Amino acid sequence: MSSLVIDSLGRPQRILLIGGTSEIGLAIVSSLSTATTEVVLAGRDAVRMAAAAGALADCSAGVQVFEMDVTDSSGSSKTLNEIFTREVDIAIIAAGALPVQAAALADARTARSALEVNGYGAAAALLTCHEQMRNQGHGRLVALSSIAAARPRPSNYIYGAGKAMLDFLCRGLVESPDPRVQVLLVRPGFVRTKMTAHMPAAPFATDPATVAASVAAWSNKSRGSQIMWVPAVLQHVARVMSLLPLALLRKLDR
Amino acid sequence: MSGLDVEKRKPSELTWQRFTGWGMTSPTVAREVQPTSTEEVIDAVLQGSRMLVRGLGRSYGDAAQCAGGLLLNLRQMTSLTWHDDGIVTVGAGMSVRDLINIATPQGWFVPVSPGTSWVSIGGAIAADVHGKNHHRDGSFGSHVLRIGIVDGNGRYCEIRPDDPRFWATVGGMGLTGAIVDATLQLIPVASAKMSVSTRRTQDFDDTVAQLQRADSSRYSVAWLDCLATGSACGRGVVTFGDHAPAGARSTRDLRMSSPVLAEPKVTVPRWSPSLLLNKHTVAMFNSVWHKRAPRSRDGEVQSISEFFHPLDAVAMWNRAYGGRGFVQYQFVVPDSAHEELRSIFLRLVKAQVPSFLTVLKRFGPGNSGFLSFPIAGWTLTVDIPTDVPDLMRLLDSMDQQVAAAGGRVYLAKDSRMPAQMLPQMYPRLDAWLQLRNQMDPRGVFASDLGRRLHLANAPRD
Repeated sequence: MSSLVIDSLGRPQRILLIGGTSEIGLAIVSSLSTATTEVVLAGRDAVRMAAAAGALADCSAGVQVFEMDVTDSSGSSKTLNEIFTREVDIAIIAAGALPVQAAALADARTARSALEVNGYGAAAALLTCHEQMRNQGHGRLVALSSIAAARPRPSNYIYGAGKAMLDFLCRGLVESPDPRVQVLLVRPGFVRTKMTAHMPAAPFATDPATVAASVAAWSNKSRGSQIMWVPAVLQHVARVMSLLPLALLRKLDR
Repeated sequence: MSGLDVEKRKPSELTWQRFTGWGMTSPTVAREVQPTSTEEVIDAVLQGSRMLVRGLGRSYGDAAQCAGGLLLNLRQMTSLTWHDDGIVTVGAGMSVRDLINIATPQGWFVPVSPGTSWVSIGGAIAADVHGKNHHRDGSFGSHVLRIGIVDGNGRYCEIRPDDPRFWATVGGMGLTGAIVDATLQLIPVASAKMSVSTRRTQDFDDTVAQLQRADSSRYSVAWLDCLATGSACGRGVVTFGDHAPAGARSTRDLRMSSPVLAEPKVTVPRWSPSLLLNKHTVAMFNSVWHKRAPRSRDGEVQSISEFFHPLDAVAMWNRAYGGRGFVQYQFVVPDSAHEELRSIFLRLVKAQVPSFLTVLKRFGPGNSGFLSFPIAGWTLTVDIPTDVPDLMRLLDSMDQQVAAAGGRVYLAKDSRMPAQMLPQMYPRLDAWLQLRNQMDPRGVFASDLGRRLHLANAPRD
């Protein structure tokens, strides 16, 4: 078994992306990866991951692909254990799905599926990676939450409920840190991706490259566990939103 | 207490602490214990958690870090036994500094002294450190007669130069076991002073020629101004000398002081601003340092501290680089690779890296250490803040150039070399890996450097 640690210039040797086709996740991997970095993609869609692996070939030392469904508790735990037989410097938890709110409300199975992926599945993956990193003695964990987790909004509270579970758990890891593992909880606002292409952009919309640059800046400076809003101004927006009367929030969310 | 059971120790001793190398980069956490005897070291090894001995933390990169593991601090294992003819057996936790202070008044001196005296004897062996006398006397391991080591099976072994395990341990970066004591041959000296010659040089060729001319002296070294360009490119100050004869006294200090080595005069504060050392301040320092050196002077009497350890006068000087930390890049290329040496130096000048500690030295033949750094040739050392633009690409490319020239990068300084460069630079790596696996089959001893460079892997087919 070989073991890996991040070098003095911030260069990781092995990065894991859970949610291996996530546009934001892949942008983060690209921004952290160098010609000597091995990349591991873990996710449900092998075909799309193979395409992503091809795109990453030039900026990495090789890409491994693992089929894994975070909602399959025992399967994903087994796969993660296999991945961690070689150490992972940085793991990014980007597994998630954005359901259409109306459809999720109309069909409990759709809602449950969204809650399982965004909430339970992502949170379980986060905890497994955290445990593996504690065992290996070092590591950096990046969890992608969302501003949707800040306050239930009529348009996306089912998605937000799942993300809130991940967010709350990850906040716990940030606020009660284990010194061996640095945790970054990322709370992006509206990010322009394929997943959101059918929606009108919200104020302070950003793109995957901007989120990735913020994560890379954190990783390169190794500032320790923290919560990061992207863009940073959203921290204040979220604070204001939490104070808004419900009636006004409903109006704004139309 | 008969053994070192970390679980029974006070919780305060079991808290995770943050460690970095001297370059203050890549922090990781570990628990630290201070065994007081070989038996306690054996107990710790038998418990089998990932561990490493950390000496005085002067290796620049991650060689003395063990992420998530146990660091054995041997500062309490500093026994000293005199034998005949300048032979001493010392605890691995003793510093070169303490040994100089004890031995020099009795007419003996350490055979090899690195650029700082704050180095433990165990660390000096593990990194096979060199000094200004390498071209004549070789590195530290060449003067070690016996090593007492606790291997990965928890067995105390005495290994000598006729045993391959000895040469796997000399330069083995602490990964073959916990060095707990060693027997060394010291060299006789007639005074506690140095007789020093200085030549101020005008350019790179002049520096190289003057340093070659100084080969006949026991000690020699050149400091270079790596920011000067044009006709002054490669200008520097060459100093060489030997221990002064009996009766010699410094012109500045007429008293034979005790202890021999001076205490630091100032300490750089913990929160030193990063901007203190930038291209402009370092260029100014380099220029002043060059101009204040005599054009040519012989027979100046200097103290041991002044000659061997000038930077020890400033405690925690590494903090001057601020929170960003720095990389020290040291490589050696064979004598024949003179043009590569010039080419690499010119690349550093072109990149205008703000290094105030750029040092060129001559190496004599290497020893039998499997991972020992020195080979006959030229070694250049440069300090580079980590925020120099495009530093990763510059150093990666310099690695390639060094390896292609038959040279190598010093592991005790390294914090960023890609692992795939190692087999080319250290052709006896596989043999070392075999020996390491034999001495530590369970992989108890581990460092961040070892993990980064895959030194804990099984030998390749």
